[in-house]
Amino acid sequence: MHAFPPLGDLEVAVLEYVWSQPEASAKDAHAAIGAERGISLNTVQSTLERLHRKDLLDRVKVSHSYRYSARLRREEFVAALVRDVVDRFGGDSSAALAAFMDAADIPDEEVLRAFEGKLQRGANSRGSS
Amino acid sequence: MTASLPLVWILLVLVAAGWLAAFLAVRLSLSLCDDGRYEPAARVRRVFLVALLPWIVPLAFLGAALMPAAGKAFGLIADHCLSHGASHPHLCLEHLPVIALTHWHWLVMGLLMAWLAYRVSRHVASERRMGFRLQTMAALARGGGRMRILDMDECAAFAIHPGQPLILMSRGLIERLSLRERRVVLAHEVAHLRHRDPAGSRLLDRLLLLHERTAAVRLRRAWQQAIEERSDEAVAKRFGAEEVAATIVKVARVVSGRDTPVLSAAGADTVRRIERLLAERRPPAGSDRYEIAYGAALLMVVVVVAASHHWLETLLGTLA
Repeated sequence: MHAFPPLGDLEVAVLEYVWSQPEASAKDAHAAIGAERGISLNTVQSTLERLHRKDLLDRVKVSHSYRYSARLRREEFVAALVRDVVDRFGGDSSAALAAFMDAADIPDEEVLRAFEGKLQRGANSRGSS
Repeated sequence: MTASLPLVWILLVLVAAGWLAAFLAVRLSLSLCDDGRYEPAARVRRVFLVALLPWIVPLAFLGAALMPAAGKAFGLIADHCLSHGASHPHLCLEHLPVIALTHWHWLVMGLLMAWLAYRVSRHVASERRMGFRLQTMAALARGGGRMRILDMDECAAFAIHPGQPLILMSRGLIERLSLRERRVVLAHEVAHLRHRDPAGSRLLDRLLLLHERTAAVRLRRAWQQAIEERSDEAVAKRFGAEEVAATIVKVARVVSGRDTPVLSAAGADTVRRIERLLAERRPPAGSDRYEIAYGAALLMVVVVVAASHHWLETLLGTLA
Protein backbone atom coordinates (compact mmCIF):
# COMPACT_ATOMS: atom_id res chain seq x y z
CA MET A 1 0.00 0.00 0.00
CA HIS A 2 1.85 3.11 -1.15
CA ALA A 3 -0.48 6.09 -1.45
CA PHE A 4 -2.11 6.08 1.93
CA PRO A 5 -5.69 7.34 2.10
CA PRO A 6 -6.28 10.07 4.67
CA LEU A 7 -8.45 8.93 7.58
CA GLY A 8 -10.75 10.88 9.85
CA ASP A 9 -11.26 10.39 13.61
CA LEU A 10 -14.31 8.18 13.18
CA GLU A 11 -12.62 6.05 10.54
CA VAL A 12 -9.69 5.43 12.89
CA ALA A 13 -12.09 4.50 15.72
CA VAL A 14 -13.99 2.11 13.47
CA LEU A 15 -10.75 0.54 12.24
CA GLU A 16 -9.58 0.07 15.83
CA TYR A 17 -12.84 -1.72 16.58
CA VAL A 18 -12.57 -3.96 13.50
CA TRP A 19 -8.99 -4.87 14.49
CA SER A 20 -10.21 -5.94 17.90
CA GLN A 21 -12.68 -8.41 16.34
CA PRO A 22 -12.24 -11.25 13.88
CA GLU A 23 -15.26 -9.89 11.98
CA ALA A 24 -17.65 -7.03 12.62
CA SER A 25 -21.01 -5.90 11.32
CA ALA A 26 -22.22 -2.30 11.20
CA LYS A 27 -24.55 -3.08 14.12
CA ASP A 28 -21.67 -4.42 16.26
CA ALA A 29 -19.51 -1.40 15.44
CA HIS A 30 -22.38 0.96 16.20
CA ALA A 31 -23.04 -0.71 19.54
CA ALA A 32 -19.34 -0.47 20.46
CA ILE A 33 -18.46 3.03 19.31
CA GLY A 34 -21.57 4.68 17.89
CA ALA A 35 -23.58 4.98 21.07
CA GLU A 36 -20.88 6.77 23.10
CA ARG A 37 -20.23 9.19 20.23
CA GLY A 38 -23.93 9.82 19.68
CA ILE A 39 -23.83 8.84 15.99
CA SER A 40 -26.37 6.88 14.04
CA LEU A 41 -26.10 3.37 12.61
CA ASN A 42 -26.16 4.91 9.12
CA THR A 43 -23.05 6.96 9.90
CA VAL A 44 -21.20 3.87 11.10
CA GLN A 45 -22.39 1.96 8.03
CA SER A 46 -21.14 4.64 5.66
CA THR A 47 -17.82 4.80 7.52
CA LEU A 48 -17.36 1.05 7.07
CA GLU A 49 -18.29 1.45 3.41
CA ARG A 50 -15.70 4.24 2.99
CA LEU A 51 -12.99 2.13 4.64
CA HIS A 52 -13.90 -0.73 2.29
CA ARG A 53 -13.60 1.61 -0.71
CA LYS A 54 -10.21 2.74 0.60
CA ASP A 55 -9.10 -0.91 0.45
CA LEU A 56 -8.65 -1.13 4.19
CA LEU A 57 -11.51 -3.53 4.91
CA ASP A 58 -12.71 -6.73 3.28
CA ARG A 59 -16.37 -7.65 3.48
CA VAL A 60 -18.62 -10.63 2.91
CA LYS A 61 -22.38 -10.60 2.69
CA VAL A 62 -24.01 -12.72 5.36
CA SER A 63 -27.78 -12.87 5.04
CA HIS A 64 -28.84 -9.19 4.60
CA SER A 65 -25.80 -7.48 6.02
CA TYR A 66 -22.08 -7.22 5.46
CA ARG A 67 -19.42 -8.57 7.82
CA TYR A 68 -16.21 -6.57 7.72
CA SER A 69 -12.64 -7.64 8.50
CA ALA A 70 -9.38 -5.70 8.32
CA ARG A 71 -7.25 -6.25 5.24
CA LEU A 72 -4.03 -5.49 7.15
CA ARG A 73 -3.09 -6.30 10.71
CA ARG A 74 -2.83 -3.25 12.97
CA GLU A 75 0.97 -3.41 13.01
CA GLU A 76 1.17 -3.71 9.20
CA PHE A 77 -1.17 -0.76 8.84
CA VAL A 78 0.85 1.44 11.23
CA ALA A 79 4.11 0.48 9.46
CA ALA A 80 2.59 1.22 6.03
CA LEU A 81 1.30 4.58 7.26
CA VAL A 82 4.68 5.57 8.72
CA ARG A 83 6.43 4.41 5.54
CA ASP A 84 4.07 6.53 3.48
CA VAL A 85 4.77 9.62 5.61
CA VAL A 86 8.51 8.98 5.45
CA ASP A 87 8.41 8.47 1.65
CA ARG A 88 6.86 11.89 1.19
CA PHE A 89 9.26 13.45 3.62
CA GLY A 90 12.54 14.75 2.29
CA GLY A 91 11.28 14.99 -1.27
CA ASP A 92 9.14 18.04 -1.86
CA SER A 93 8.21 18.43 1.74
CA SER A 94 9.70 18.47 5.22
CA ALA A 95 6.35 17.12 6.36
CA ALA A 96 6.34 18.96 9.69
CA LEU A 97 8.22 16.02 11.09
CA ALA A 98 11.64 15.71 12.67
CA ALA A 99 13.06 12.20 12.66
CA PHE A 100 16.04 10.81 14.53
CA MET A 101 17.97 9.62 11.53
CA ASP A 102 17.95 9.77 7.77
CA ALA A 103 17.28 6.48 6.03
CA ALA A 104 19.35 7.48 3.03
CA ASP A 105 22.33 8.44 5.14
CA ILE A 106 23.00 5.40 7.28
CA PRO A 107 26.81 5.12 7.32
CA ASP A 108 28.27 1.92 5.87
CA GLU A 109 29.79 -0.82 8.01
CA GLU A 110 33.37 0.47 7.74
CA VAL A 111 32.44 3.99 8.86
CA LEU A 112 30.34 2.64 11.74
CA ARG A 113 33.25 0.47 12.88
CA ALA A 114 35.62 3.43 12.73
CA PHE A 115 33.27 5.50 14.90
CA GLU A 116 32.82 2.64 17.35
CA GLY A 117 36.61 2.28 17.59
CA LYS A 118 37.04 5.96 18.26
CA LEU A 119 34.33 5.92 20.92
CA GLN A 120 35.88 2.84 22.53
CA ARG A 121 39.35 4.44 22.61
CA GLY A 122 37.82 7.54 24.19
CA ALA A 123 36.10 5.41 26.84
CA ASN A 124 39.32 3.45 27.51
CA SER A 125 41.44 6.57 27.92
CA ARG A 126 38.88 8.06 30.32
CA GLY A 127 38.84 4.77 32.25
CA SER A 128 42.64 4.63 32.58
CA SER A 129 43.06 8.29 33.63
CA MET B 1 -10.55 49.05 -13.27
CA THR B 2 -9.16 48.55 -16.81
CA ALA B 3 -7.24 51.84 -16.49
CA SER B 4 -5.23 50.36 -13.63
CA LEU B 5 -4.25 47.18 -15.56
CA PRO B 6 -1.14 48.78 -17.12
CA LEU B 7 -0.02 49.64 -13.58
CA VAL B 8 -0.63 46.00 -12.57
CA TRP B 9 1.52 44.92 -15.55
CA ILE B 10 4.34 47.28 -14.54
CA LEU B 11 4.20 46.09 -10.94
CA LEU B 12 4.30 42.50 -12.18
CA VAL B 13 7.44 43.27 -14.21
CA LEU B 14 8.96 44.77 -11.05
CA VAL B 15 8.05 41.68 -9.02
CA ALA B 16 9.64 39.47 -11.70
CA ALA B 17 12.81 41.62 -11.61
CA GLY B 18 12.83 41.36 -7.81
CA TRP B 19 12.46 37.58 -8.04
CA LEU B 20 15.40 37.38 -10.46
CA ALA B 21 17.56 39.46 -8.12
CA ALA B 22 16.51 37.17 -5.25
CA PHE B 23 17.31 34.10 -7.36
CA LEU B 24 20.90 35.35 -7.78
CA ALA B 25 21.19 36.26 -4.09
CA VAL B 26 19.93 32.76 -3.11
CA ARG B 27 22.51 31.15 -5.41
CA LEU B 28 25.28 33.18 -3.80
CA SER B 29 24.09 32.41 -0.25
CA LEU B 30 23.37 28.68 -0.50
CA SER B 31 26.81 27.50 0.58
CA LEU B 32 26.68 29.73 3.69
CA CYS B 33 23.53 27.93 4.88
CA ASP B 34 25.22 24.55 5.07
CA ASP B 35 28.70 25.58 6.16
CA GLY B 36 29.65 23.29 9.04
CA ARG B 37 32.05 25.90 10.44
CA TYR B 38 29.06 27.78 11.83
CA GLU B 39 26.84 26.87 14.75
CA PRO B 40 23.66 24.98 13.83
CA ALA B 41 21.51 27.76 15.32
CA ALA B 42 23.21 30.33 13.05
CA ARG B 43 22.64 28.05 10.04
CA VAL B 44 18.96 27.67 10.93
CA ARG B 45 18.67 31.49 10.94
CA ARG B 46 20.47 31.74 7.62
CA VAL B 47 18.28 29.13 5.95
CA PHE B 48 15.23 31.16 6.92
CA LEU B 49 16.75 34.44 5.77
CA VAL B 50 17.68 32.93 2.40
CA ALA B 51 14.27 31.24 2.10
CA LEU B 52 12.69 34.64 2.64
CA LEU B 53 14.60 36.30 -0.22
CA PRO B 54 12.16 35.57 -3.11
CA TRP B 55 9.39 37.00 -0.93
CA ILE B 56 11.01 40.13 0.43
CA VAL B 57 13.18 41.25 -2.50
CA PRO B 58 10.18 41.62 -4.87
CA LEU B 59 8.31 43.37 -2.05
CA ALA B 60 11.29 45.66 -1.50
CA PHE B 61 11.33 46.44 -5.25
CA LEU B 62 7.60 47.24 -5.15
CA GLY B 63 7.80 49.30 -1.98
CA ALA B 64 10.78 51.25 -3.25
CA ALA B 65 9.23 51.86 -6.68
CA LEU B 66 5.99 53.10 -5.14
CA MET B 67 7.74 55.20 -2.51
CA PRO B 68 7.68 58.39 -4.62
CA ALA B 69 3.95 57.80 -5.26
CA ALA B 70 3.37 57.63 -1.52
CA GLY B 71 5.56 60.71 -1.07
CA LYS B 72 3.41 62.61 -3.56
CA ALA B 73 0.21 61.47 -1.84
CA PHE B 74 1.47 62.89 1.46
CA GLY B 75 2.72 66.10 -0.20
CA LEU B 76 6.36 65.30 0.52
CA ILE B 77 7.41 65.23 -3.16
CA ALA B 78 6.35 67.62 -5.93
CA ASP B 79 4.00 66.13 -8.54
CA HIS B 80 6.25 65.83 -11.59
CA CYS B 81 4.06 63.36 -13.54
CA LEU B 82 2.37 66.08 -15.61
CA SER B 83 5.69 67.22 -17.02
CA HIS B 84 6.28 63.74 -18.50
CA GLY B 85 5.26 62.72 -21.98
CA ALA B 86 2.00 60.77 -22.40
CA SER B 87 3.86 57.58 -23.28
CA HIS B 88 6.07 57.74 -20.20
CA PRO B 89 4.61 55.21 -17.72
CA HIS B 90 4.07 56.67 -14.26
CA LEU B 91 4.74 54.65 -11.13
CA CYS B 92 2.05 56.73 -9.58
CA LEU B 93 -1.36 55.85 -8.19
CA GLU B 94 -2.82 59.20 -9.26
CA HIS B 95 -1.70 59.40 -12.90
CA LEU B 96 -1.91 55.84 -14.06
CA PRO B 97 0.47 54.67 -16.78
CA VAL B 98 -0.90 54.54 -20.32
CA ILE B 99 0.24 51.33 -22.04
CA ALA B 100 -1.70 49.49 -24.74
CA LEU B 101 -1.71 45.93 -23.43
CA THR B 102 -1.40 43.32 -26.19
CA HIS B 103 -2.31 39.63 -26.10
CA TRP B 104 1.32 38.90 -25.11
CA HIS B 105 0.91 40.93 -21.94
CA TRP B 106 -2.28 39.04 -21.11
CA LEU B 107 -0.68 35.72 -21.89
CA VAL B 108 2.30 36.37 -19.61
CA MET B 109 0.07 37.67 -16.78
CA GLY B 110 -2.25 34.68 -17.17
CA LEU B 111 0.59 32.16 -17.17
CA LEU B 112 2.18 33.72 -14.10
CA MET B 113 -1.10 33.73 -12.19
CA ALA B 114 -1.86 30.14 -13.23
CA TRP B 115 1.63 28.99 -12.15
CA LEU B 116 1.24 30.68 -8.77
CA ALA B 117 -2.27 29.29 -8.26
CA TYR B 118 -1.02 25.80 -9.19
CA ARG B 119 1.94 25.94 -6.78
CA VAL B 120 -0.15 27.24 -3.89
CA SER B 121 -3.08 24.86 -4.39
CA ARG B 122 -0.74 21.88 -4.75
CA HIS B 123 1.07 22.83 -1.58
CA VAL B 124 -2.17 23.38 0.37
CA ALA B 125 -3.51 19.99 -0.76
CA SER B 126 -0.25 18.21 0.12
CA GLU B 127 -0.07 19.90 3.54
CA ARG B 128 -3.67 18.88 4.21
CA ARG B 129 -3.03 15.27 3.23
CA MET B 130 0.08 15.16 5.40
CA GLY B 131 -1.88 16.68 8.31
CA PHE B 132 -4.42 13.85 8.05
CA ARG B 133 -1.65 11.25 8.00
CA LEU B 134 0.12 12.69 11.02
CA GLN B 135 -3.19 12.86 12.90
CA THR B 136 -3.87 9.23 12.04
CA MET B 137 -0.36 8.27 13.16
CA ALA B 138 -0.92 10.09 16.46
CA ALA B 139 -4.35 8.48 16.92
CA LEU B 140 -2.96 4.98 16.33
CA ALA B 141 0.05 5.42 18.62
CA ARG B 142 -0.28 3.78 22.03
CA GLY B 143 -0.22 5.71 25.28
CA GLY B 144 -1.22 9.20 26.31
CA GLY B 145 0.64 12.43 26.91
CA ARG B 146 3.46 13.76 24.75
CA MET B 147 5.31 10.47 24.27
CA ARG B 148 3.56 7.68 22.36
CA ILE B 149 4.58 4.33 21.01
CA LEU B 150 4.07 3.17 17.44
CA ASP B 151 3.12 -0.46 17.48
CA MET B 152 5.52 -1.72 14.80
CA ASP B 153 8.72 -3.72 14.54
CA GLU B 154 10.62 -1.28 12.32
CA CYS B 155 12.80 1.43 13.86
CA ALA B 156 11.46 4.97 13.92
CA ALA B 157 11.44 8.03 16.15
CA PHE B 158 9.71 11.28 15.25
CA ALA B 159 8.76 14.62 16.68
CA ILE B 160 5.51 15.78 15.09
CA HIS B 161 2.95 18.49 15.68
CA PRO B 162 -0.48 17.44 14.39
CA GLY B 163 -2.20 20.13 16.47
CA GLN B 164 -0.24 19.16 19.59
CA PRO B 165 3.46 18.44 20.09
CA LEU B 166 4.11 14.67 20.17
CA ILE B 167 7.02 12.28 20.17
CA LEU B 168 6.48 8.92 18.51
CA MET B 169 8.89 6.04 18.99
CA SER B 170 8.41 2.62 17.46
CA ARG B 171 8.28 -0.50 19.62
CA GLY B 172 11.04 -1.97 17.41
CA LEU B 173 13.43 0.85 18.28
CA ILE B 174 12.55 0.82 21.98
CA GLU B 175 13.23 -2.91 22.23
CA ARG B 176 16.65 -2.59 20.61
CA LEU B 177 17.99 0.27 22.71
CA SER B 178 19.09 0.35 26.33
CA LEU B 179 17.25 2.59 28.77
CA ARG B 180 20.01 5.20 28.60
CA GLU B 181 20.02 5.16 24.76
CA ARG B 182 16.24 5.53 24.72
CA ARG B 183 16.58 8.57 26.94
CA VAL B 184 19.09 10.10 24.51
CA VAL B 185 16.75 9.55 21.55
CA LEU B 186 13.83 10.91 23.55
CA ALA B 187 15.82 13.98 24.65
CA HIS B 188 16.79 14.56 20.99
CA GLU B 189 13.14 14.56 19.95
CA VAL B 190 12.19 16.77 22.92
CA ALA B 191 14.83 19.25 21.74
CA HIS B 192 13.12 19.29 18.32
CA LEU B 193 9.82 20.12 19.97
CA ARG B 194 11.41 22.73 22.21
CA HIS B 195 12.89 24.44 19.15
CA ARG B 196 9.49 24.10 17.40
CA ASP B 197 11.17 22.30 14.50
CA PRO B 198 8.01 20.62 13.12
CA ALA B 199 6.33 24.04 12.84
CA GLY B 200 9.57 25.48 11.43
CA SER B 201 9.62 22.78 8.74
CA ARG B 202 6.07 23.62 7.75
CA LEU B 203 6.88 27.33 7.54
CA LEU B 204 10.03 26.62 5.53
CA ASP B 205 8.04 24.51 3.05
CA ARG B 206 5.72 27.48 2.51
CA LEU B 207 8.61 29.88 2.00
CA LEU B 208 10.23 27.50 -0.49
CA LEU B 209 7.17 27.70 -2.74
CA LEU B 210 8.75 30.61 -4.61
CA HIS B 211 12.16 28.96 -4.95
CA GLU B 212 13.33 27.02 -7.94
CA ARG B 213 13.66 23.30 -7.28
CA THR B 214 17.43 22.91 -6.87
CA ALA B 215 17.66 25.76 -4.38
CA ALA B 216 14.62 24.45 -2.48
CA VAL B 217 16.17 20.98 -2.17
CA ARG B 218 19.50 22.39 -0.94
CA LEU B 219 17.84 24.72 1.55
CA ARG B 220 15.64 21.94 2.90
CA ARG B 221 18.68 19.71 3.31
CA ALA B 222 20.67 22.48 5.04
CA TRP B 223 17.71 23.05 7.37
CA GLN B 224 17.44 19.34 8.24
CA GLN B 225 21.16 19.12 8.92
CA ALA B 226 21.14 22.24 11.09
CA ILE B 227 18.11 21.22 13.19
CA GLU B 228 19.49 17.71 13.75
CA GLU B 229 22.85 19.11 14.87
CA ARG B 230 21.12 21.71 17.06
CA SER B 231 19.13 18.95 18.79
CA ASP B 232 22.28 16.79 19.13
CA GLU B 233 24.02 19.74 20.74
CA ALA B 234 21.19 20.27 23.22
CA VAL B 235 21.26 16.59 24.20
CA ALA B 236 25.08 16.55 24.39
CA LYS B 237 24.94 19.23 27.08
CA ARG B 238 23.02 16.78 29.27
CA PHE B 239 24.41 13.38 28.32
CA GLY B 240 27.82 14.27 26.90
CA ALA B 241 28.80 14.46 23.21
CA GLU B 242 30.33 10.96 23.16
CA GLU B 243 27.23 9.34 24.56
CA VAL B 244 25.02 11.05 21.98
CA ALA B 245 27.45 10.02 19.21
CA ALA B 246 27.44 6.44 20.54
CA THR B 247 23.63 6.39 20.48
CA ILE B 248 23.52 7.65 16.90
CA VAL B 249 26.04 4.93 15.91
CA LYS B 250 23.92 2.33 17.74
CA VAL B 251 20.70 3.44 16.03
CA ALA B 252 22.48 3.45 12.65
CA ARG B 253 23.71 -0.08 13.32
CA VAL B 254 20.27 -1.29 14.44
CA VAL B 255 18.62 0.31 11.44
CA SER B 256 21.21 -0.89 8.89
CA GLY B 257 20.93 -4.46 10.15
CA ARG B 258 17.18 -4.67 9.61
CA ASP B 259 15.66 -6.68 6.78
CA THR B 260 12.66 -4.41 6.63
CA PRO B 261 12.93 -0.99 5.01
CA VAL B 262 14.24 1.72 7.25
CA LEU B 263 11.52 3.83 8.70
CA SER B 264 13.31 6.97 9.58
CA ALA B 265 14.11 10.00 7.54
CA ALA B 266 15.32 13.49 8.01
CA GLY B 267 17.53 14.48 5.12
CA ALA B 268 20.44 14.95 7.52
CA ASP B 269 23.93 13.57 7.05
CA THR B 270 24.50 11.11 9.91
CA VAL B 271 28.29 10.95 9.49
CA ARG B 272 28.54 14.73 9.71
CA ARG B 273 26.45 14.68 12.91
CA ILE B 274 28.71 12.09 14.55
CA GLU B 275 31.91 13.81 13.40
CA ARG B 276 30.70 17.10 14.77
CA LEU B 277 29.91 15.54 18.14
CA LEU B 278 33.32 13.85 18.29
CA ALA B 279 35.30 16.84 17.03
CA GLU B 280 37.73 18.12 19.61
CA ARG B 281 37.57 21.70 18.43
CA ARG B 282 34.09 23.15 18.40
CA PRO B 283 33.13 25.35 15.43
CA PRO B 284 33.20 29.09 16.16
CA ALA B 285 30.04 30.75 17.38
CA GLY B 286 27.84 32.00 14.55
CA SER B 287 28.75 35.54 13.63
CA ASP B 288 26.19 38.16 12.70
CA ARG B 289 28.13 39.22 9.60
CA TYR B 290 25.75 37.49 7.20
CA GLU B 291 22.68 39.01 8.85
CA ILE B 292 24.25 42.49 8.75
CA ALA B 293 25.22 42.12 5.07
CA TYR B 294 21.71 40.81 4.32
CA GLY B 295 20.03 43.82 5.96
CA ALA B 296 22.44 46.28 4.31
CA ALA B 297 21.89 44.72 0.86
CA LEU B 298 18.11 44.96 1.25
CA LEU B 299 18.35 48.57 2.34
CA MET B 300 20.58 49.29 -0.63
CA VAL B 301 18.03 47.73 -3.00
CA VAL B 302 15.31 49.99 -1.58
CA VAL B 303 17.47 53.11 -1.83
CA VAL B 304 18.72 52.36 -5.36
CA VAL B 305 15.25 51.50 -6.72
CA ALA B 306 13.64 54.51 -5.03
CA ALA B 307 16.42 56.85 -6.20
CA SER B 308 16.23 55.67 -9.79
CA HIS B 309 12.48 56.22 -10.00
CA HIS B 310 12.52 58.24 -13.22
CA TRP B 311 15.09 56.00 -14.92
CA LEU B 312 13.06 52.95 -13.89
CA GLU B 313 9.88 54.45 -15.39
CA THR B 314 11.72 55.04 -18.67
CA LEU B 315 13.09 51.48 -18.67
CA LEU B 316 9.66 50.01 -17.90
CA GLY B 317 8.16 52.14 -20.66
CA THR B 318 10.76 50.76 -23.11
CA LEU B 319 10.13 47.17 -21.99
CA ALA B 320 6.36 47.57 -22.20
